[in-house]
Amino acid sequence: MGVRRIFTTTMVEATPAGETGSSDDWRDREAAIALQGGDERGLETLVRRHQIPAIRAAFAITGDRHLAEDIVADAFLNAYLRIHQFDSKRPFTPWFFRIVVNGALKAVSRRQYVSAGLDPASTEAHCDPEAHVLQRELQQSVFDAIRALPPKQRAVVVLRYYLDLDEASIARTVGSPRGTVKARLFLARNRLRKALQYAGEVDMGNKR
Amino acid sequence: MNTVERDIARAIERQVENAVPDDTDLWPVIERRLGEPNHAWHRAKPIQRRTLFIAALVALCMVALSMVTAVAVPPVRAAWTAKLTTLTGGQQQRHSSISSRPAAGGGQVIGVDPTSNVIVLSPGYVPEGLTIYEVADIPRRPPPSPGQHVVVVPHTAILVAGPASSQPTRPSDAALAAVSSLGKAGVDVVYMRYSSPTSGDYVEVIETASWAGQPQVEGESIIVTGSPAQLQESGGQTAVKLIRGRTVVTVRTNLGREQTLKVAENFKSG
Repeated sequence: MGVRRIFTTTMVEATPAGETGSSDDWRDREAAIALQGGDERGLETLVRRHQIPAIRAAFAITGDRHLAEDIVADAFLNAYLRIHQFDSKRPFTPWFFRIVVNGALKAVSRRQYVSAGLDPASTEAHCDPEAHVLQRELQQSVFDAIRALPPKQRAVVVLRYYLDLDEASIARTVGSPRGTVKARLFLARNRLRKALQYAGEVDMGNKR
Repeated sequence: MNTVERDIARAIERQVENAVPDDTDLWPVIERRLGEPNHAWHRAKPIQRRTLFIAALVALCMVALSMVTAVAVPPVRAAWTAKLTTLTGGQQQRHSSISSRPAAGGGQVIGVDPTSNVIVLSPGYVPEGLTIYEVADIPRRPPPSPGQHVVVVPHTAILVAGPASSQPTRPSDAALAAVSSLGKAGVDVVYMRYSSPTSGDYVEVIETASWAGQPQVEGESIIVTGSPAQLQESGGQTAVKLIRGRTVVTVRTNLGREQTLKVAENFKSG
């Protein structure tokens, strides 16, 4: 949950004038400006701050942790090469995650991860198999449904429900019109809702 | 978020947190890749691309500018030439914007120098839309005949009229040549006499194309302010060089004296 909170603060869009923003934004901008000046320590700062959520987002899209790490490493190097294109008045996170998400989508299409999803083995490593059985079943159902989503829908789901971006930010991140994002979210949500209802009728009924 | 959305979020979060632990560190990998031999090339590539892009853009702009100059300007000049040539024909009016308006005593075009856009008009002959100023002298030439007229056409043309009270007099060939050479140099030159504040002096006005950022319009006249006494010292003939966009002019006299004078803002029709 901690990572989620980081994102809800760092992914906030700055005002056009760039006058406001969280302290995380400012740290990102300072690091990016340092990087623009050729200081590689700026890159290290950005890597340390964003690598975990970036890998997790890429993993949620590709379903392959090693691939996700490669994608994120490439994304940081690409960001380094294209840092002169970064507008330091704007937050770094959406700009960077656009690179990550596009990289993940490209990787998915290149490797034809038609059924790409989460690797159950990798997700079990830190789980307590005896606790929260119902939740795990529910989560498994969700991931089955996510696995079945087309990559672009999967990407917007990750951006919306993992990175907590609003539709406008998602549109900017994936480079699609807001209406397209809305439609993808709508379709994905319907599928996931059905999966949830199917797998966790009792549980869902209790929650509602 | 509603319940379904919260469940989706929680499920994704739980799953990715399990799959990617918090101690994952990519920096060593990235640092190693930064140190790879071809990294410098990678770093230089976008800079080279950018440089090439800027160079190409500059080249494109220069080509476009030269094309505009080559294509757009000649027709404009040709249009002016056509007007003046029309006037050369004298009585043939093929261009409606400048029509002939015989003044008292009648008038006609008595000569033309298309290259320098100098037209010699007969006394009192005033093409409509143009303003005729009193006399002009051609610098470093014999004194003008009193009553000669100059018609000022902004930007391109100089029309020289003959004396108002005598038979049409064509300026000397040398005078026309002098105007022509200045015209060829790309300078709009107006030879005119001004009546205020120092009557009787002649001024050479160079750069009439604009004044204080505003384009000169047909019929504009120039008023030079300054010490009349100083101007009178000049001995009757004064050269005023107007510098585009400035309100200060340098007055050069035929005695070699130079004065910096402020030119009135009201650069209006005389």
